[in-house]
Amino acid sequence: MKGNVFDRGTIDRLKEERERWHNECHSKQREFKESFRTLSGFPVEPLYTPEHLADSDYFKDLGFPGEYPYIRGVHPTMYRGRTWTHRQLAGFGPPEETNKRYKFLLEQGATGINGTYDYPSLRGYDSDDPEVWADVGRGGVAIDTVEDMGILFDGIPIDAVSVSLVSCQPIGNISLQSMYFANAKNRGIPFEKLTGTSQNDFLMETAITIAPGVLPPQASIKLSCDAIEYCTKYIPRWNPISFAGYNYREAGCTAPQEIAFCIANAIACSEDLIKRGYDIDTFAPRLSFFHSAHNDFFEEIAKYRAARRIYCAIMKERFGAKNPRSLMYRFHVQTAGVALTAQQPLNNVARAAYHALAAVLGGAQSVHVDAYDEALCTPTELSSLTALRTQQIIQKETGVTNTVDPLGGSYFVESLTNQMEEKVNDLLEQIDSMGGIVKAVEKGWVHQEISEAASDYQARMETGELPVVGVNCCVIEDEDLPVELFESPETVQIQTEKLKRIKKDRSDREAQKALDAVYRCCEKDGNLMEILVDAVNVPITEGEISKVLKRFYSVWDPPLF
Amino acid sequence: MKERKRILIARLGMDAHWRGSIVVARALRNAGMEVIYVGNQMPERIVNTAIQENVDIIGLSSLSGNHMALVPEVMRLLREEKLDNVMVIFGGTVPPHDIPKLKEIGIAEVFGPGTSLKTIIGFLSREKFI
Amino acid sequence: MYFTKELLDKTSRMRKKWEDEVKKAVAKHADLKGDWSTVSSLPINRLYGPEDIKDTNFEEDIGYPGQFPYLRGNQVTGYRGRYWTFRMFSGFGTAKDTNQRWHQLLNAGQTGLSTAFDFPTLMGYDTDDPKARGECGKCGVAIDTLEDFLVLVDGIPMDKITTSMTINPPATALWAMYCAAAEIKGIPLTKIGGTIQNDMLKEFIAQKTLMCPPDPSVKLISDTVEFGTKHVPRWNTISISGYHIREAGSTAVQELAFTLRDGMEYVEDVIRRKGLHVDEFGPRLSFFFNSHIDFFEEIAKMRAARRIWAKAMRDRYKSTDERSWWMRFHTQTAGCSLTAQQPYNNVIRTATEALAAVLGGTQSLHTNSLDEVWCLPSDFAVEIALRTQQVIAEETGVTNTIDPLAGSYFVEALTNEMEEQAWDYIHKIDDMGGMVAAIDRGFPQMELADAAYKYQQQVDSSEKIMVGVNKYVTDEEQEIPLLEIDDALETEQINRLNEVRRKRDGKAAKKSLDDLKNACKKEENVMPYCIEAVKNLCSVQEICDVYREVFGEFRDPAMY
Repeated sequence: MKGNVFDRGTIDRLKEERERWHNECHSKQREFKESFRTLSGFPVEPLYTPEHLADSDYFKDLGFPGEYPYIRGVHPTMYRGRTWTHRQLAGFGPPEETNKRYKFLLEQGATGINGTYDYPSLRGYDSDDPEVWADVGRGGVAIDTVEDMGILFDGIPIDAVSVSLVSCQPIGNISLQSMYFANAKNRGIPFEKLTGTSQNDFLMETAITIAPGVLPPQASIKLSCDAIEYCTKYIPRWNPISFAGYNYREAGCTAPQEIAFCIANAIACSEDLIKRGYDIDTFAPRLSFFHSAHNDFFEEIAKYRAARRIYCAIMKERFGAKNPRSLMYRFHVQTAGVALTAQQPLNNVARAAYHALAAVLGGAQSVHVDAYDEALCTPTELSSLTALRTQQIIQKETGVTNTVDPLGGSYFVESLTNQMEEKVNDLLEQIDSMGGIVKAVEKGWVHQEISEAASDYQARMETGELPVVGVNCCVIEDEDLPVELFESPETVQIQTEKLKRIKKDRSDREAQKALDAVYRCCEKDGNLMEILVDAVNVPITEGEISKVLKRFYSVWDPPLF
Repeated sequence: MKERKRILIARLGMDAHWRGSIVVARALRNAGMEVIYVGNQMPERIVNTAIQENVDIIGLSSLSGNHMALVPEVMRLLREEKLDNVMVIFGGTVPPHDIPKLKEIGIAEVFGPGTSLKTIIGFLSREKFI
Repeated sequence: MYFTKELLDKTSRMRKKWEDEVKKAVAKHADLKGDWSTVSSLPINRLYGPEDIKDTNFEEDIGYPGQFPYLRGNQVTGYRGRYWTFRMFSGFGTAKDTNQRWHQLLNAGQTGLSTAFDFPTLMGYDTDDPKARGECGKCGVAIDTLEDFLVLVDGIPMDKITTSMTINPPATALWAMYCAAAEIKGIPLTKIGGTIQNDMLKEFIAQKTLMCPPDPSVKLISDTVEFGTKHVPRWNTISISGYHIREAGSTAVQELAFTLRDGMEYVEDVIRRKGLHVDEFGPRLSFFFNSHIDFFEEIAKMRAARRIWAKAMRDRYKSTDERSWWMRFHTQTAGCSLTAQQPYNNVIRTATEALAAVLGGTQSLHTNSLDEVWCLPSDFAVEIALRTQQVIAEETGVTNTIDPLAGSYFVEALTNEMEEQAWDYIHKIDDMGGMVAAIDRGFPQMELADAAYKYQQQVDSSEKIMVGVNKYVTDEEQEIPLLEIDDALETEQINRLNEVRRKRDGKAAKKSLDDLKNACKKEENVMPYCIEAVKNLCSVQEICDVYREVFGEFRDPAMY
């Protein structure tokens, strides 16, 4: 059905009118700069009118919320029917400590848990490994065994609360996710009741946050797809992957790169699962996305809207998906950590509020707001509470949830959405022509793209084209920090002692048997989670599991710098 | 032609944030330094690499909060190896009260969040590395 | 013609189909609540599409920035050529304290000054009046005579910085001091710029800082308009204020309608009483709005305000000068939306309100500080509030294009709706014989009292949420540093005042007050006499006592 929004005659007349306005008025005034660009570099014109949407077809390009092309939202009722999940990140020190913070946030009205893990846990090391002692308990909670997972969720109704495991790297995720499910089993909670998300993104391991000894891309994505397959079979309400665009952006990507890499990643996973014999509609409804909300307010809104429209077309046309849920681009948003400043930290309250508002106007399913002291330390109770309140104020006070997609139709927003879509599609074509995202990572193209974008961003900041209040403008000399910093508890000792006890109490033969079974499963190219969900109960540790994986798959040196 | 000075850039321990160190590495390369970028390393490897590569300066990066655990170790090993002439600088997220502590154990300069490349390059050229 | 006919035909059909889907969805998963409306209880639809603005005519209703109907802004370049003025309201303690704060704000990048006066000054009393006991310097700066005023503006480049003064009944006296101070510093009146609030109608409706009855109050205002037009051309002699109407509990539509109708009242009075042509003074009228917590409602309100005013000036008062058609306004974020509980939440509220003001196209903005609920803002809190504006201007990219929300089905529909409802009110007040007559009948006061009462009921029943007040309440208190004013200040100020009275030429002072009294009786313009009086060191109260004597004192009949 054709539904041209504006008729040709109107458009032609407006074009003339705008030229007249420009010549008679606008061109006679001086502006701050010669040209204006968004944060990601899209040119921005002084004024948008219907002529920027001359080819707009209402039914094809906009349509209705809850229907193809989903640009106005994935649900017909959006935030009138359900609020986005207020999911605040938490995780530090030993699991005993993080468990307390989870409970605090739930008492304060958080509607989901979002757990971060320390660097060793993310990368598959135990806390007593000599390589990692300095990072134990930093940036997240330390988890070594299923016992730790039990402590972490002690007293939390995981059959009712949705839990996100920010287990970015497949090598760590395969253990952590197995431990989570094993713990649920041990508590007698049926798998059908579990709701949540694990991050499980191979790009995180191989291109975004790189440390020594990572698995090769091919192996990393294999582990990632093992988890998808396992959940498809047994844990129907779990999102086994959350493509981590947020982290791509933090590493320096532009907005269109953020979307393109996520979708390319989703394409690669879908192809893998189809190769394993699954119909697209069996797993696609559970693929989920994770995005940043950066400074450029309208660019971010356009980014989310464009992602929905691009994704549903790919799922429908490329993979023949029929289930509407397979077509829906559902995403969690975290406000941009890189946009926060260590200088004048309370300015970050305002920044994060704008980021969060953009996420909501863009139709997010779930949001985390950064705490104002995040550029300095792990959030304190006051700063995490203020972050949560940001979400509640937007939802309860600002009235922006009264109507669905309030910006729909705006000449500027619609036209920026179109521009975004075009750019993302270009990138996707490039990736396709290289043979997909895994190949693009292997040859270092993704790394190259990101580091170029990061350098470009830094350069624009240094010239002052991108002002940052408190950093390169509005600076206060010699300021005192008015915030109280968070000191994290001593974790290594606690975890090391626990590990010692666990290893002493278990049967070494059983443990070795379990680890051998993991190796054999790799050899047979079987699904590792099928074994691990039981094996972690032996118990075997996360570090032991990933050593086996590295022995079999070997490690990869990313083509960085 | 003046000999190009060599800098070793390493991220400490498990810290995964590479954006800052890569951006700085590029900038220093463009400013004319010889950059040896090694990614994540523990103190012993860092000091060994510094010896093998015969570097003039070491740039350490960390945003994870492990600096008070690992930086003293790097400095101790450098002293042990008699590499007192190698200057060490640090970049990343450091709470303000840790800065004097780092300087006390011999870090020449600490570059916190929001530092511009100009500041870093300016420092290095004042110290005659560029 | 805006949308194609075929689109409108089809979209209503498609919409019906979609609404069936919604019914199914709601049956499965009920809406979170039954009533979806703005903070002012304006009902909002689930979805907006072309059919909601189908009668739009682009050129007439939307158009271009800097052109009639100015919906998209007065400035041809929006914020691409010039930001709004970052104007933080400040004033506390003595003139010297406030002067120091001003220098600090100017150094921090603020581009305009804004003065808060203490209660005695606002009401036209001196610090030593028994009524003024314990108030000195508490909610603003204490000013008694020109001596104080000269300290206040010490070192401030009055020819470069614009200053806004929130002052109403004694506006003539304080403005006279500003003019006199400029003359003493050798700056001609043609060079000074700024604003006095000087809007008495909203005082009768909402804020109740009252002195004389409505008619002479409006007369004094017309005096300042006339004097400004002739001698101080860069001064905005009135800032027609909706801010206080809103703070007193009105809805957004009421704020819009009463403020604009007040503006029309002043226009009519100056034309009638002073015989000036509308375009002689129209360009200097300015407005002052509230930016409350309902994000889109505020944006729509500000956009509608510009369109209504342009139409009123052009069609109703036959203005031909485009500059008279511009609705120029200052905005302050809503003090009444802030909470004493969990004060850091106020940074978030102020941030969204400030963004709404910018997307609504304000010319000038004050952002409230997080501690404003208890006291005057501390340095720490003011800094964050100012930075909030700078973050919008420098980081969020929303200033890259002009009126970025134009075309949004929702925003345009809401803008139309608010304009329509505002005209209904304006016509109703016209029928009553104008705003002064409507105030006499208590009409706006009653409308406002109804709205405030209704809102409070909604808060009490948690239909409208205030986070930390009726939802997400915590027991723990968040401590923040507060600013305290020393009571010793009052004695100091009284001593200064006595000192001035002792050293001034008593005869000259008395004569200038007598001259002022005569001018009032003869319905002459009071401004030249006021300036003479302040130069002779007559105090704010002495001048206001003349008004009270000649025009009588007004007591609020308190309607509710």
